Amino acid sequence: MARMTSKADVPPGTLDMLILRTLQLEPMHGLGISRRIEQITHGTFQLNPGTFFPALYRLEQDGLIKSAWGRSETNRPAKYYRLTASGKRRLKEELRHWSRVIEAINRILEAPQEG
Amino acid sequence: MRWVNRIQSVIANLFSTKRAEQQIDEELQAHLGLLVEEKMRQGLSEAEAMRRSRLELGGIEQVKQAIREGRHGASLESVLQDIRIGARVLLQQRGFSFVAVLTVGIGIGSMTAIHSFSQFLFNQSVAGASRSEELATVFVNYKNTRSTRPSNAYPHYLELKERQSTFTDLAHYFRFETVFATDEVADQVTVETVSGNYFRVLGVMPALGRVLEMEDDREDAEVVAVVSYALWRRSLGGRSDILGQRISLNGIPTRIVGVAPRDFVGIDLDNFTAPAFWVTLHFPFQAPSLRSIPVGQLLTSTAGGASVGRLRPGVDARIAAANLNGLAGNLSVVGNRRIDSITVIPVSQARIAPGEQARTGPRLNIFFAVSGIVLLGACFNVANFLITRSTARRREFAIRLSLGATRLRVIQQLFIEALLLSIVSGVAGVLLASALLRAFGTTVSRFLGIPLTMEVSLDPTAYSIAAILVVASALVFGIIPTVLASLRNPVDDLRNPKPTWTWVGFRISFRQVLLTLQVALAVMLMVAAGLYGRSLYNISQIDTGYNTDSMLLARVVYRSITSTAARQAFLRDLLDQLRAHPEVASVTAGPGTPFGFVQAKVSLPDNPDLTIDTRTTQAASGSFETSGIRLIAGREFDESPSDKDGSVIINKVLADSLWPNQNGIGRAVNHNGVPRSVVGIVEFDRCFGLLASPGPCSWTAFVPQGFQVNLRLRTHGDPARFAPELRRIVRAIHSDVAITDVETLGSHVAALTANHRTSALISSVFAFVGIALVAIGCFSLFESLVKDSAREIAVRIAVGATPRKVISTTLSRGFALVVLGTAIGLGASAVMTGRIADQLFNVASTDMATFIATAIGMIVVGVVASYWPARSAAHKEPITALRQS
Repeated sequence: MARMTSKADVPPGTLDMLILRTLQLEPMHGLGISRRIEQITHGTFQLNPGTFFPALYRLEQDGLIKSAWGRSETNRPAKYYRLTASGKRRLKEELRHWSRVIEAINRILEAPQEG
Repeated sequence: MRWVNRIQSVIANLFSTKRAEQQIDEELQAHLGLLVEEKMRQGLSEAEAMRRSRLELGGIEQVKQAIREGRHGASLESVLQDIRIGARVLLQQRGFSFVAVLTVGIGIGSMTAIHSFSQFLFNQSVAGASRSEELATVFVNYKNTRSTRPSNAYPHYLELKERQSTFTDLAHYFRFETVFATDEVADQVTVETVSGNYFRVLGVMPALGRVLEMEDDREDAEVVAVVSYALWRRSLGGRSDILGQRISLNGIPTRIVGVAPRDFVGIDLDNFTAPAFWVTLHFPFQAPSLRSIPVGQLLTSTAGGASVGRLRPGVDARIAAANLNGLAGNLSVVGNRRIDSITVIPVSQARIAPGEQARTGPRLNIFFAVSGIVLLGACFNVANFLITRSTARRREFAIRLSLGATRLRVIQQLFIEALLLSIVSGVAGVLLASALLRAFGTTVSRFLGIPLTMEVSLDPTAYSIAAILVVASALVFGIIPTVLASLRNPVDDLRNPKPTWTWVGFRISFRQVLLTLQVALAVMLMVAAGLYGRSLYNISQIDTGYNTDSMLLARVVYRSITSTAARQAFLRDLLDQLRAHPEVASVTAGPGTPFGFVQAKVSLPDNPDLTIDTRTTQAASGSFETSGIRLIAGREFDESPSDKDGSVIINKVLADSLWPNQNGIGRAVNHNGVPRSVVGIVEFDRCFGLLASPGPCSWTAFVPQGFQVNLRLRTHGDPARFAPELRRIVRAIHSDVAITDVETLGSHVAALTANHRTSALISSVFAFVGIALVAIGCFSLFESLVKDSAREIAVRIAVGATPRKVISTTLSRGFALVVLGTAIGLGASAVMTGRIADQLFNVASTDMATFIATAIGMIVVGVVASYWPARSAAHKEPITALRQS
């Protein structure tokens, strides 16, 4: 899938997985998702709205997440996203794939160096 | 089922754009609200919270644009949107769109028409035949023969048909001219005599009745014919009860057994004449009076035709040629004709004789190239317009770029507009091309005097050519302005400077370069039109040597009259009746047309070294008087036997070269080896051809021979109106005699110069289009130049410059471009016109007068076209101009 490159520090190709993973716990609105990701990574990942919102819309169009209007904790209107069944399946695949990638990269990095 | 979701969302995005937009908007607003609330909870003031939130969001419009472009079907949606916008823009600027479609359409249309025409001539499948790509023509090339269309001896055809192994079957055919007559009409027609398997080999199915079969092609078979669809409709009333009826063909009763399909015109396209009848090779085509020559002589001796066959599956022309050439050595010798080689050519490439192809091909190529130049000019013009317009729309694009549209998106929109424009032009062009071809088949060919008896329609490949031209034009006039527009920095455009390149210190805009090129192209077209025009004028000023007023020409074909004596009696009878007619001033008969002379060598008995190559024909008594040729000395022929055997009339050119400054009357010459004495000297000197230079001519007394004779009548009234009366008189004397080629001397001369008129007509049309393009181009460029410098002009007028001065300053810029373009065009013309030198009559291809007139004409066009914008600028109130800028 072609993706907009941005100045965000999120590694390319992982933003979808991060959003799905965040929504696995509970339905959340856009700001909630991005704040949660920032908190958990201690601010390492700053989400650029120009990348983040298109990703949300794309995931929804792919049927991986679903949205509904609701009220925030401060009673403001907000659009809440939740994971669909196919979203859960997709997240599992992505996680499996990701751990394989990480394992492979670690093997390369930990391999004894020549010389 | 992710793809189902995707398709759903594509459709949803395409059809509920508004709702989707609204949702995005609501969500972003809500998001902003949450952000502000968050910041306020951290203790910021509402205003500061709002400011920081906006900063963090980074521009709502840009985020929206990013979402739009990330959506499924976004590219399709944007294309549809651009088509909508483009159509709206084009409709708004109706004047521009009309001119663009017209000019580009003319370019595409003429190229498509010419392409179709050359496809028709050089690469056409045989209409009416099945799978004509399998058909190939077999040419037997004989040693020591030279003719434009090789012809195969029938015995060789039979032997080849028997022994070859690469064709499923071979058929044989040849054409001859004869007279066809019914109770109502008599006319000279082309008849194709074909082997019995001809229709089966070609796979031609009859429109009515049946085609010819093997059983028809026997000496003892009944004489039958298949009639062409065109003649059936024209002369036989298109009635279906024609089957079984008898007509007279060559004076022989012939039964019609079928009607050929509508499109089928045989294989050969030479001279654009289609056969009117097909008969078998055993048709007794010699006149009955010539029974002394064995019937079917043609079948046993050297007279020739052409062979056509259907290649076996997997065999191509090359393999077939190898097979036939392998057999060539073992074929019997027919007469004195020895086989050199055998050529096999796919039938589509063999429909025009090679000699004809060599003459017509280059001419069509020139027209094709000229149409290409016109199209290029039209595209430049449209590009010019689009640049002007994109300059005006630069703010619009700058705003869109600033709001987050990618450059690609802006380029896409501009290109789609250009494509829309060129597609509409292409459709107009195709319509124009088919109209042109239809006009060519009827009015134009009549006007030009080209005997076209076939319909040329739009070739199927013409559509793909038109499509290619559409894309090419869109690239030319779409890409140039588009790239120029997108290379620019939006911030600069919001500040509004002008797009210029700096070249050796001059500020040149791209459209100024385009205009210069366009002027150059138009100059080339004008030079070509000027040269052809002058050439045509020179032709019209030729003294034909005849008195062209009220002279009617006609050919009488009396093949069906059996004996020589009867034919002579018929001719005497006819001439007597015509002489007695109150409408006829005088009449004469002869073997040839007014410019149809043959070679003859004239020498002096006492000086055998002096042999003069002359052109000769025969003249009857009173021939020179009827023709309006002045007799300088001596007399015309009388009907005496001594004149027939021993007299000659020569022209002044010949007399002067034989006996300079002496009287030639009564002197003896050898005329083609026959001693004759000169009885008259005349002025006429066009015997080498209408367009050839004057030369020595000679005449001997007329002795009727063969099956036809040419009449020349001088009438009291309009000669053309005497034609029906002439036909009536001929038919009243003998119903099986055809009268053909009835035309006035004027139209005969016109037909001889048809090629020149075609070139002059086509090049003038192109030149006119070229001038129009330049005028439009100049006008639009100067208008935008004036707009761009409105402020400068206003300031100058405000500080006291006179309108006159302002006009001349503005004009001088345009003037420089036009002069530059004219110079380039003249230079290019001087190099290129050498190619048409052989098509010009008495005009050098670098004719100074034409070049100078073209230069003046182009500069006048440029000045006139730029005058109005400059004038309107000069008369503007300075304060208005300053306010507007």
